[in-house]
Amino acid sequence: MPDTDIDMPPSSERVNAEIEAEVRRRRAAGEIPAELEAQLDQAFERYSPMSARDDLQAGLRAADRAAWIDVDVPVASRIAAGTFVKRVLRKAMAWYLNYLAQQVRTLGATGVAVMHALALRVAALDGKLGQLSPADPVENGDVQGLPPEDVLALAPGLLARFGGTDGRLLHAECGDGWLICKLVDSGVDAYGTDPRPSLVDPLLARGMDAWQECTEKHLEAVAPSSLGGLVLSGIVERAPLARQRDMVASAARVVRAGGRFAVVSTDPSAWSADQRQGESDLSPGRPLHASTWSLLIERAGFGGCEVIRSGEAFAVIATRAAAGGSTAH
Amino acid sequence: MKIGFVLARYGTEVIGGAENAARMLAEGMVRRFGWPVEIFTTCATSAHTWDDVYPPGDETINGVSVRRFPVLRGRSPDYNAYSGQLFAAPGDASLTQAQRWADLQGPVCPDAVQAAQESDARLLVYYPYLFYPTIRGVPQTPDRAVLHPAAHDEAPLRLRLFREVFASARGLVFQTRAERNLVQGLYPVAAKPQLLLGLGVERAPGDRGGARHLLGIGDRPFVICLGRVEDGKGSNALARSFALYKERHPGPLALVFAGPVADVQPGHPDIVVTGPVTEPVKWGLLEESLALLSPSAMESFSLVVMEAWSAGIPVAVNADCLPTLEHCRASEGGMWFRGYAGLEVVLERLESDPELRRRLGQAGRRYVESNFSWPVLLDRYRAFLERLTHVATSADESSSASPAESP
Repeated sequence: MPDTDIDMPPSSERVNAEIEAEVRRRRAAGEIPAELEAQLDQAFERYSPMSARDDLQAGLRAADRAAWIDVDVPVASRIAAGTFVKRVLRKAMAWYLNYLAQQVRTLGATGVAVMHALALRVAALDGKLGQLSPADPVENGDVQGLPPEDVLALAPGLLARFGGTDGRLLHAECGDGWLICKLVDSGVDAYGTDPRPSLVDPLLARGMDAWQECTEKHLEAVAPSSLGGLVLSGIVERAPLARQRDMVASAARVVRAGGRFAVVSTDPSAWSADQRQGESDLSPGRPLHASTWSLLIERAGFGGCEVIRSGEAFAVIATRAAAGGSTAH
Repeated sequence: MKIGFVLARYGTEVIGGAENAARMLAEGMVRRFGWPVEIFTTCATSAHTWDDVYPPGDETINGVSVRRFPVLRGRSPDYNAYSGQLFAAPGDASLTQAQRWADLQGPVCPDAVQAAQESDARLLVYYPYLFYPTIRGVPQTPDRAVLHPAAHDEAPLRLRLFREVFASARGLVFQTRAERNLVQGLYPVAAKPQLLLGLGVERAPGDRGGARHLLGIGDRPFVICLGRVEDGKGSNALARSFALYKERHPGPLALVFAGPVADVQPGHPDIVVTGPVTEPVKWGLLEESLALLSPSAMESFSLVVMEAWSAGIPVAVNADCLPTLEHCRASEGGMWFRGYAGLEVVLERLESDPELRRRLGQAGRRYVESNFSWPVLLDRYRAFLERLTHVATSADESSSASPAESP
């Protein structure tokens, strides 16, 4: 569809998809001299980022290039007769080198073809693994997953318990900042993560420290015992049981001794209420009861579990045991 | 609130993304908030040699106090060979090897680091992560260190030496999400106070006539590559690719490299290398060109991409460079290419479709205006620094200490 008269920018993704399609077509049609293209691509890749070089596709491209054996040995020489001698040797040995090179090229091409086939199999397996563990509907954009009123009403209780947090506090899946903004206003060094850019960007514009990232990925990257407080919400209702347990284990790793941890959730019986049916139907997991969270949290090394409630939402709040095992309140 | 900046080089003559960014921030804080800013730096201007150029001592540049110290050891002749040895597997290099590499790289200037340490600045801003003053300075001043890594996805970032540098910093300031994700992927800094800031653009009037006169190519259309002309920035790959493009697409289009020349590019009748240009000529060149090409895969922000959009022209960036790719995706103002084939198709589209150029350029300009104006950035930076000092004070249980000064 052509761009309309109003000054809307063309989708750069669309333009770039067209460019990539055209590149593929030209390569397939042999319109670009392969040898020249390989030389120039190498010139670009010489200063490419480290991680781009570790990428599987980049490795395959490098293997493609390396599979070609050049038998046309350079003959330039600093000695006057050197070039002549080299040229004669090259000509004399050409039949032999070509014979060997042909076999090495065949070996290389076969090896590269096997690698391409393996890469396709790996991609297919990746896809199947993804089907085994369905994507999160909020991260996917299938549902909005905004916290209901009852969850928002927990803010004063959470603020009272996390208000004096010593150290940095993370609210994972922070939404529109309903909690971190209040915590920051009260002087807590709080930041948030959320997978939805539509929620993160306004927070950034307000000067909040917010990351567009999913909870588990972010927790993996947090240094051990580096947080003074951690509040998990949203994903803890939707994730499968194994991931819910993993998140508690991650919390035990990243919250320092004496730090506080909370799980904010809706009660399981209320989760499939009319306004959240899409979320509950599409989620790979379901919320746990407050008592179950308390059990898991205590087993992970937290103590002093306390449950606060607001309508059909609750927060289980606990304190990370100090090294000696005692729990501060 | 007094702020110190610890930098490997500083001055209006110094050309470099990180160095320019630091200078603009420092001058902005003096101008907008009236905060005293003190720079602790070397007498060097070149990041290739670190030879002393400026005299040691104190001076004031645009309201910023600058204290310069002589370089004890500049770039060692052994640096390149040693880098090659270490960079094959940078993560495997020992701490001692990595420290030796940092010293060989230079500029070794312990006096600047010590002066910063002894200063009464509430916070010390280190910029970028790569050089001796940051490597030595941040671990010595952990409670006051605000690190602007300006990190690229390159081998040195993986040297274990930098684990301590990132772990010691009180706060971090990143220029793009891609830069933050890169650092986060290597070091666990997520729990540190941090800010996504970027850089501001100040558009100046362009001298279009002067720009055309300098090029000497009449009214021929051209695309421009702005900044240091250096192989590591993709200049050589771009020049060679453009030569092939012209072989396959004869016509009037020219390529202009404008900026200091570190690596001379092969001569070609359709390629013009101007060397450094004045600000009015730079803006004139941007206004006159069809598009800006950014072939570099190693950018942590790319101010020139913002400047191009500010001038209303589209950009085409190397798809391997995640920060510039991030800008293109977010702004809808750019195209990206990988290797020659992609560049060929991009150039064809840019050459043949003025409407596409116009729309991309406008989208890019809107993106810059909404996100990268200096007043907005400076206010956010100030709020972050104030929060850091507040948190640091709370952590030290010294809330009775004097509060941050008002502007």
